[in-house]
Amino acid sequence: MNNSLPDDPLDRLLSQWAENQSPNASDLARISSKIIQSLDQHPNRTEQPLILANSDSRWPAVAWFALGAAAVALLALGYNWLAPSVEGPSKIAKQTTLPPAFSWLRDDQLRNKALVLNELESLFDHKLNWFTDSADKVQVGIEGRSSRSDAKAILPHAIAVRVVVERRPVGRSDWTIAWTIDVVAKNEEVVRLNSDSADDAKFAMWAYVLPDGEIVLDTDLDYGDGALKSHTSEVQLNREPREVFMCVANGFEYREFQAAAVLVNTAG
Amino acid sequence: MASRDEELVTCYLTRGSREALEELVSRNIGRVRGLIYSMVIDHATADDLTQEVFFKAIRSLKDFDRRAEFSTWLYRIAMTTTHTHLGRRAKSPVVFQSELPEPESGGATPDQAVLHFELKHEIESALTSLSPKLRAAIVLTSIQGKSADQAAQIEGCSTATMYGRVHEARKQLKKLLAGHLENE
Repeated sequence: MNNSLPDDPLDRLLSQWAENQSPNASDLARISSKIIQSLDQHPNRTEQPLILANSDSRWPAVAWFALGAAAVALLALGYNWLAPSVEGPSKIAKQTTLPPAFSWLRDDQLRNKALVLNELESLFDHKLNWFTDSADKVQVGIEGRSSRSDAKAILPHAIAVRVVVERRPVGRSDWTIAWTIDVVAKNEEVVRLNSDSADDAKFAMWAYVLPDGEIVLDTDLDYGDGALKSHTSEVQLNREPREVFMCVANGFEYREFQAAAVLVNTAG
Repeated sequence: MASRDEELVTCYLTRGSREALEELVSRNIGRVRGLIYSMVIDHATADDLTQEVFFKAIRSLKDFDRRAEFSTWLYRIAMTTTHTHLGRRAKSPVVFQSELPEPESGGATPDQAVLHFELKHEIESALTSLSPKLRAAIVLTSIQGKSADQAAQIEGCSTATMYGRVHEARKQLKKLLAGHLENE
């Protein structure tokens, strides 16, 4: 905190307020001690993950399981060396849960969405909050109130999101796409869609771009009359799809993937 | 004891010095906690997020590449963590303390306490009405005393963008707190 009060009345008011809210030394010492104690309880916190450091947090568990299984298999066959098995399991793990190609947001698709966004912005007099594209049906969200030119100047970009639901009969190996939606929404706008039929879905979404470019994405999805009901809150890496939910219902396995990307509004 | 934060980081990473780590936390915790409180305006949340920020920072000390000062790097982690929290909380309104605090013995009169409470409430309402990015801009510059350049580095935007945010935030706050500023 500032020791000397600033000259500007607003700065002075804020500084005094902040000064009054600061905790005393013993409270700070208590928080410090909690941090240090927690490090004692988790002494390896500062170490990097041993494998698959850049992968999703689900990978290490799968990879270690596969590594263990590979090691047991090798021992059973009488091999005395283990090293070649280290490369194998991660590949197997990646292959088995790799997001479907369709869930990736490609460059040309993002360029296309930016163009559509600009067109719709002009068409709706810059009052567009979001638009969605699902099963050949385009829906738009329009601002009911007066134009928010200030907010747009501060938040010039939008977020493109793709949600893909796949399903397969329990015990079968091939996944098929059951439902998918593409959404383009302004930062922090809530998107809400109701279903028209049992094959459709109720969907709500809210997204926010963090300063480092990652995207906070909250979604609610109710697909197939409750067969898949998910509520997710994830920090998404730019464009990289993730499996966010999986369930079994009515003899089918379902899995949901999400990908998000920051969409630069070229119209400025 | 080393005099700079960067030297304490080296000391901890190379020798595993527990004292260096404790000193690093102790030196920075007040400012980080103050920064977070000004953004979330809730003491319990600020305490929790402060712990989370230091866990993250200590866990990634190996990634601190020294291109920026340690405090800037730490502030950046603090702001990213806070933005994530605010983003997730955006749909639920902020609840302010609704009861007047007990006046401290020998302190202000009841009238002064009410005035003080009202002013505090109005400042917090005004800050909360700003978008997280505008709030961050005013908190970093006016309260934390960072330059626009440093604030831009922390928020990951250009200096020009930061100037724009600071200007807009100040304009909005001056309007909301006009009554108190005229009395200054």
